[in-house]
Amino acid sequence: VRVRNLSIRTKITLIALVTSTSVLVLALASFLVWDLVSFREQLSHDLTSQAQLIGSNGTAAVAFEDAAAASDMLMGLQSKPEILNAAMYDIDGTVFASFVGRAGLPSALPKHPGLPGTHWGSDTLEVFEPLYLNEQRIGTVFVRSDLSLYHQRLRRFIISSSLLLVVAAAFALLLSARLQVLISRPIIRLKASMQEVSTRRDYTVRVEQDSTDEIGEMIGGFNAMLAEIERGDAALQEAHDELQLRTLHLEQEVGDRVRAERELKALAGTLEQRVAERSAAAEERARELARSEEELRHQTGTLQSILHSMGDGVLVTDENGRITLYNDAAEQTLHTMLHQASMLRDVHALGFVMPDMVTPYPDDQMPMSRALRGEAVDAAELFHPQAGDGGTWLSVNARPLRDDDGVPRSAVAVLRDVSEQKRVEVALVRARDAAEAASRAKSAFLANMSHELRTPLNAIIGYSEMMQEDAEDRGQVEYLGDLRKVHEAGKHLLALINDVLDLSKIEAGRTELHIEPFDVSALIQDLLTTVRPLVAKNRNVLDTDLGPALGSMRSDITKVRQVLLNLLSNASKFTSEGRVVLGVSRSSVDGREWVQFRVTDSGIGITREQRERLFQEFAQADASTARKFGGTGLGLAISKRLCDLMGGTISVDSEHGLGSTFAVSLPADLQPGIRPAEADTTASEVDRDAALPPDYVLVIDDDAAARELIARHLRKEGLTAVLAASGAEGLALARRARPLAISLDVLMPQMDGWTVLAALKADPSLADVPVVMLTIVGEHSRGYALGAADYLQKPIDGAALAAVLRRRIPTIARADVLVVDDDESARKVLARHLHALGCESRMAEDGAIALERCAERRPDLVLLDLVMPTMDGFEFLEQLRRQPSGNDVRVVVISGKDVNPAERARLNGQVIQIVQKHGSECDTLLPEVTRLLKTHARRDAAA
Amino acid sequence: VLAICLHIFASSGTARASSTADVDARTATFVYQFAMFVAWPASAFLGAHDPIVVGVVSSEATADAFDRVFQGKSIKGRRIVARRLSWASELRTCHLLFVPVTEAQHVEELPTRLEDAPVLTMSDDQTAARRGSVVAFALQNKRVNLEINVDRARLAGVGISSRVLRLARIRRGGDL
Repeated sequence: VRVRNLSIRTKITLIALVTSTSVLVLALASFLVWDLVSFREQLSHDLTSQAQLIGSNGTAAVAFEDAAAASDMLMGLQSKPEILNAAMYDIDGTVFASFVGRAGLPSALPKHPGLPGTHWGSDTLEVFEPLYLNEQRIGTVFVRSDLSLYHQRLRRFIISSSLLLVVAAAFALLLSARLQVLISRPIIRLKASMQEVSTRRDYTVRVEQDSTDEIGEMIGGFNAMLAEIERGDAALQEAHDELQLRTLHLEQEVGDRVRAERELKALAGTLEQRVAERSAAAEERARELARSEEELRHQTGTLQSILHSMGDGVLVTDENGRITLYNDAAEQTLHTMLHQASMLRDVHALGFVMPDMVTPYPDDQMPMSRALRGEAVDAAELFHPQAGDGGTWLSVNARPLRDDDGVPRSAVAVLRDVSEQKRVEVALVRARDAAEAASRAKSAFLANMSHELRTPLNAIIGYSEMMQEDAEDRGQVEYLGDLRKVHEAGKHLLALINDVLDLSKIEAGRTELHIEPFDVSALIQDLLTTVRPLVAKNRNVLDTDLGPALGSMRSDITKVRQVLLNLLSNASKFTSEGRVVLGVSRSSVDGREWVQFRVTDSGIGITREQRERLFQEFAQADASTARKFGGTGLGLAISKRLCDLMGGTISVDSEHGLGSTFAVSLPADLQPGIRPAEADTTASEVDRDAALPPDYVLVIDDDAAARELIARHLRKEGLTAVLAASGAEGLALARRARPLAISLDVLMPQMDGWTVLAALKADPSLADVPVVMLTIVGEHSRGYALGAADYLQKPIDGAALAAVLRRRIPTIARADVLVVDDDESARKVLARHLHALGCESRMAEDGAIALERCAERRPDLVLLDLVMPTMDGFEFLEQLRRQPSGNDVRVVVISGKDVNPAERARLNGQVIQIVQKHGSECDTLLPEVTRLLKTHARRDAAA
Repeated sequence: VLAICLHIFASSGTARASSTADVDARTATFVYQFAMFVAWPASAFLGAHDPIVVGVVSSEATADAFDRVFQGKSIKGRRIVARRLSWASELRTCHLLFVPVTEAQHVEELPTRLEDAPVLTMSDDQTAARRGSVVAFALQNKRVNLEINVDRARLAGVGISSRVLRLARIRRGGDL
């Protein structure tokens, strides 16, 4: 029987059997060989050792030729049954002592010793071991061993492995006979199904697929194949049915056609009759046509004369762009080119260029081409460099001329020579550009002036002041007067420059308003602090006359301050041993809120004539006053313009010799854009973002009186308060800018204090802001449980609240302040001031050095100049904020540079305040720095 | 004693002289072979190539026989030389002292004379190992009767190979 034809069942069994048996045979054989080889090695090694032992023991006996002793020693081998013979030979090779074992033969001893080493015989193993004494060979030891043990081992091994083989083969047969079912059963089942399909032609038969292996897939394939055949069968049947149906239809159709042919023949008869009627009508038509043709010729002549008398050129092309008609005006404009193009009969050859006067006009963009595509073209600008004197500008209107189906068949273009107009336009653009460039140059000049003029003056003022102090300290009184003069003159010059620049900026319309809400009372307090030493200089008394509920206003606080400072300083300058009163009130006029400021003095007063010129430039009361009282004479002019800018007014009421009253009225809520200020959109966005003062205490209370009360106490403590009338407003404010602390009323309509507290604690950026809860009812435990920092019961003792808040806010410590300025004098003045305040100060000449200083130690506050060599303030800020440790360092910009809206936008969010440095450090800048330090330069409570 | 010896030698005559010389040569050969199995302490020699000195308390003829046998022989790089000694001379100047059976009456003196010096004493008197010598031997045909007093050997600081000890009858006791 050929193996190939055996059943798959037998094949699988055979494969398993043959494989396992041959593997076992191979394994056993290799094990046998390995075992025999190692056994032989073992035997050889053992016998050699035996011989060596005998030799070692017998050395002395051989040396002393003591044959008896040697024989005694060999007798010891009796305990080893496998030793057949042993002998010792002396140096001459004669047997000196010998031993014959139980199975050995005395005659079998070799007469002479053989070569040293082991010698394998068929049944024996022999060893010759030389004997040495004192490095001389004195004899040989001979041992012969029986190999029957070795053969016995071999036999035993072969018998046991054959037995093992038979048992293993039987087991393999049994196992494979059982396991082959796994493969053979599905195949046999498949085979049975296939037989069923082929004998019965029943394609609905399916084989159960119970596995996903290859056989499983084969069964799946078989099933799919059957399904396909079944489907094909059904389709065939369907096609057959449809064919029969079609044949039926066809027969019906043939019947219909025969009927129709009969009807057609009947129609032909009537048609002939109609043709005769029509030809009569056509003759009548031809006569009518001749009449209208005559009329048309007349009209065309009229149109032609109209066309040629037109001022604008007219051009008509057919659908291929060939010029079919043009009038005199067109010819006049384009003469030679037109002739040329006309000869070529192509409108594209006219040689027009684009409005840039260089690029040839693309064919498909030509107004005519566009009109031919059905577009109506209006006022397209074309330029022809060769036509006319220095080229011709044409404004072209083009329209498609459509046939009855609405398809453009030709195009008409009307050309108007606009060269003159164009030339004027170009000149206008040039003039505008020149004007803009000049304006830009002026702006740049102003910006540079403000920086370049102030920087050296700062040095003069700063050093002269320092020298004054030094001179005083060293008792060099004789220099004091001169130094003071230098200092005063410098300050005067600086004030003059500042005022001139201010004024020119206002005149140039380059002053922007930075509108933000601020507290009026806070502004007044601040002003009083600043102006008090000035007032005291002429032994004047400073009083205030404050109206009720001043509240807050939205305006440009810097400019309001500037105006009021100017008025106050004027008042104290022109008054001595008198009274200066600052009055503030709030009123409503025409539905708008206004804040009125009044500065009254009991000074020299102003005459009526002087009053007229008062707000003009360089117009002090009279020429002599400048010498007597100092000042630039620009202050009031600037104030007037600033008030105008802020939508307010300034007026004066005075009686000569009795004093004067300056009144400033400003809208309480200045809307950006009301004034024609040049502040652009970005600036107003910045203002909205910057609306909250940095580092403030948020007061949330629905009772206005309570808010005001708390705010007043906070101000006394030197804290800035921002007021919110509801929980929602308070949350919105806190999210816009993180407050230092929050005073929160519990009982409020809509959103109560607990809800606000929960919302604050839920916001990760606000969760650690200390919150002081205020209420009528005592719910201490609830407040602390919800995370309130403190709990106060109403009615509130304002001082206690302020104290509690103060305690909760990290205190001012020895702040580490980094001063970044390229001007050495500015640095020195600031350093001296910082030192006096008890702060540590470090210096940096430019941004790069400042970055190094920041890397050394994180400063608590950075005072930053913007204009510096190497790395300016903007770049420093960018690099600082990019560092992980530097992104929350507080930075205040102190710069002599005028910050424009774009730069302000760049700084927005990066710095907490921008202080414009106008030179007179001692008067305004240093108090400002003090205030900044008090507000910002506190070390974190942890530090 | 010397007189008796001289008398014996003189009376034995030349015929006996040759057989006596044979015995001497065989004795000398055995002494040489025995010396191969002996290890002296390093202190017994001054230099690395100093010879092994075999003292022979005997007649001139016996000493000559030893000289002849030792001629050109060496053990582990040391030459072996014979030196004739008398009982009166200093016995501690040699490494191996051979006392023939004819002088065996002096064997008892050896321990006190040598005072544990590294000197291997040998005698062909059968009882010598029990009386004061380290090694006593008797050469027979195809057999060597060997007695070794291992305690004395240890006192002298002289090592004897186990290969030899295996062939010998072992005696113990330093004062016997």
